[in-house]
Amino acid sequence: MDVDMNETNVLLVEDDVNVRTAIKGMLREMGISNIQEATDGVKALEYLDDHPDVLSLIVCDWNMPNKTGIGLLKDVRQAYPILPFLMVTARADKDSVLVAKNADVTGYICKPFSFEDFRKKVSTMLKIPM
Amino acid sequence: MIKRGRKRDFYLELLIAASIFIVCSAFLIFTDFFEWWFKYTRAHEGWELDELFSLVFALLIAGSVSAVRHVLMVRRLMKRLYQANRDLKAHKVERIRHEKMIALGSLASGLAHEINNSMQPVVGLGGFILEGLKESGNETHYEYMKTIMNSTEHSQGIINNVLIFAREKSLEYEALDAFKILPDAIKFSTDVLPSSVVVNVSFDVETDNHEAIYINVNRTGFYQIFYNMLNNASAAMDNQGAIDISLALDVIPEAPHEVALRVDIKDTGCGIDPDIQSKIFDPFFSTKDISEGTGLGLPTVYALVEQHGGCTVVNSIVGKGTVFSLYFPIVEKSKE
Repeated sequence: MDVDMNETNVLLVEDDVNVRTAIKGMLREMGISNIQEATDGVKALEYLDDHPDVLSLIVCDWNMPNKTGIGLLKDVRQAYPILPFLMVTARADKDSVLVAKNADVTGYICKPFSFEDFRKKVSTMLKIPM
Repeated sequence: MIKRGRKRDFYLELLIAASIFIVCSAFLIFTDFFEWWFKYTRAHEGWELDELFSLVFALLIAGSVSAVRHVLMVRRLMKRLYQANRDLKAHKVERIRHEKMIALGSLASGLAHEINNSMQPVVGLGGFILEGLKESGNETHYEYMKTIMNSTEHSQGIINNVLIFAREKSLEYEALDAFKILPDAIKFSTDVLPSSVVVNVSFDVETDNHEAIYINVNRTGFYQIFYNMLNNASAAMDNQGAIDISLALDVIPEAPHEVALRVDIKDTGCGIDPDIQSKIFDPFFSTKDISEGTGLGLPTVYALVEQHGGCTVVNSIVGKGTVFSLYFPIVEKSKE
């Protein structure tokens, strides 16, 4: 099944502007141009409230002010149980991975990750043929 | 400590000998006095002299035996007390080191997280720039960018070690036969040592025909332990000499009920000054030139061995060399 990249909408939630720019660049390299940005979990939820059912994927950092990535994931899962959610974080310990798994995360990738690793992860989640 | 102990034993033995001598002398003096008393009083009527002597003699022997037993008992108790005192001191040192590790680990973990986060743009986007420079044919800038990427990779390696030290890096373990994984790990590390360093391996485990001994191992971590240890030993000998690796079945010093495989790595290097022995497992502590070491080798070994459920013990004599003993708990094959 071919995925139309023009209809792929990604919400990128990351408080660090440099990291946000980097991930946005990688998404663009993959051919995804519909990228919405939010700087924390609260702003991400506001976007979701205003634009329900438009997202194909959420790419989210863990440590953020106001609402953390895991807090956002729990809230998102109540309204969108199967929306792909990729956690991008520097937390590489088993406990953090377990916490995210228990909150029903779809994908988990540790920073700093290469474009290749990121592309594989996102492609699998969006079922894009590689 | 040992010399002082021997001196104390000598004095105790001297005291016992002197006590026996005094008791015997007292007995002889007493017999003279007793004979005199027997002749000049009538208190002994109804008793023969021999009977009285036997009675007094028996009492004195019983008293002496009892005294000697008590002295020996006190001696045993003192020995136990000194041992307990030594153990307590060792535990105190270990506890302080452990607390220091926790504090340093927490600091290192926080730093590593921040750095990993900040490195994301370099790692994620650097590849595109490298690719673009290659396609444009700008050789010089391509080489510059390659240097940046190599340096970034090196930094990532350091941060990974910091995360291992801070116990923030999750490791997967599998139960493997020590006789299979150990030679592999040693060979992997020996291959990169200078040819002037000889590594002698003597597997001397007293098992039934070298029956398999299983230890829980994270392959990469295990290889890293021996890579760091052998490099460290080699550097301590100025990359010249012999490193001896031997095995033994032992118990973990801090958990005497837990049977472990002990791997001794012995070098004939410069040894470690007692003043710095407590610091060698601290991150970024290094006696090497700044270009030669990051100061993360031994802390990573310490953390990795601990994550394998074991511990690291060091014995060193300045000018003669150092023995690092690594303890790995033995497990059942199915228990991973």
